[in-house]
Amino acid sequence: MNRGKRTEKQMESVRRRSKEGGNRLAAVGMPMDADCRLPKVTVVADRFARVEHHTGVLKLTGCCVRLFSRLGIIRIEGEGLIASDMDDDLLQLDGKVKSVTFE
Amino acid sequence: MKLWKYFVGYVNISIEGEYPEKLLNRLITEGVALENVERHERMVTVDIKAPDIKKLRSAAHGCGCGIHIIKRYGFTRIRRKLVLSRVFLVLMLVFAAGIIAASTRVWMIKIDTVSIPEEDIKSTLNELGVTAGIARSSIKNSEIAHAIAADPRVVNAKVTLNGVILNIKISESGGVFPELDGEGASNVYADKDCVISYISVTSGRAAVKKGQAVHKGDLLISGDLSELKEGFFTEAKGVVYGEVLYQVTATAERKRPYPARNGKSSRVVSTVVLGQELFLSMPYEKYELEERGCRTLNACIMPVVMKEYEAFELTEQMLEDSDEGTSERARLMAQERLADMLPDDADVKTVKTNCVENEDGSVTAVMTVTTIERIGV
Repeated sequence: MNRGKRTEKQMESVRRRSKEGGNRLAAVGMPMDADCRLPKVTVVADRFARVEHHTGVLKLTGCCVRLFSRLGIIRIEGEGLIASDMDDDLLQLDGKVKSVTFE
Repeated sequence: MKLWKYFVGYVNISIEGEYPEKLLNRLITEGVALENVERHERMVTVDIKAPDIKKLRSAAHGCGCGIHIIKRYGFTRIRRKLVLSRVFLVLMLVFAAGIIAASTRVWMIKIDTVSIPEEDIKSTLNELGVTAGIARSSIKNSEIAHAIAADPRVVNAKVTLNGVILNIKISESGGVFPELDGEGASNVYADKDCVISYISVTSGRAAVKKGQAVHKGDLLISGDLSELKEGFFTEAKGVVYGEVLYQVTATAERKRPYPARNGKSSRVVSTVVLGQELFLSMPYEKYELEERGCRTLNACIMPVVMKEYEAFELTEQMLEDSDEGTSERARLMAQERLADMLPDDADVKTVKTNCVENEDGSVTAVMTVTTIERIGV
């Protein structure tokens, strides 16, 4: 329980720092995705999703994929989802993508 | 991409357990690239590269997941099996030895002939013992060629051994030395009088030598080869160059037309503005000017100069030319005539011009040119 609280605190800290980092990047005229620590989700129509800079897989089913990232958990919902390519930094999903949410 | 995957080799595995994502995370942490990860209730199927199979065992340890290899794809396994197999190695050695042994023999005989039947040539070869399968070292090209050339229909036989193929090219009497209609042979004749400076015969027999003087119509290359073999004629071909002499004469009259004043004249005025001289009017077509006066008008914005001239009308009159001028005209006339006479490919070797003054004062130029040019038709 205590461990869970710590994690939540840490997550808040990371989120805050990431937001500040993003603001700093924006202040010097650089794009937000120049910070390679932040996750980058690319969705093409509803047939393809690409998640860069994830930190692990929490759940992988045909209708829901949950991934760890520095900003928290990324939840991708859809139908017939298959991870066509996967390594320690990138995950490529084929199938019908319905929603992407940050939990 | 799939072809490359197949070449490298990949394995389709199934991961069964309570929490297969844990194993997936371990695998990607260890640098294993996963492909086509698909969930089937409690089981996940994944494609991984064949070399990454070794990492599966260590990653699965303590994960609570069971791993099963569903199918292997690609060449890797087959190739490894074949290379390790002793039978395969022996077979490879036997195959290589067979190839080496086979390459020491002749396996094909190609006969290039036009009208002589191949069977006749083959029968000659059989008599010599030359058949498919004979050792390359036992073949003597000159002997085979000589035996084939014994046939009266054969003029020449060329035998070459190219790898495991024996090529026989036969020149027949009607092929290389075609008998021509009419007089029996076609010859090359001189088309002008000349001295032969170079002769090269491609086909036939040379009838002249270098340095020999020939007249138009003389025989240069003969196609009659009956001296070598009775009744044989060929189309004479070759290149013949000869020294040809050209002589041209041209006479120039002493008097020639010159523009001269005819006595008519009139006053003309010109205006010079910014260096440009403009004549207001000119009464004659051909004229000669003599300046009479010049006045500058300072009252204008720009300086303007008015010039006054005396214009004399000129008409062509026959006047006597100098000796040099007459000779030069005669030489030029001769040169023009010569240019029309010389063929385009003629290479001029020497040019000599001699001018002679006639009794009436006219000059005759005699131009002698020696050229090297191709002759023979």
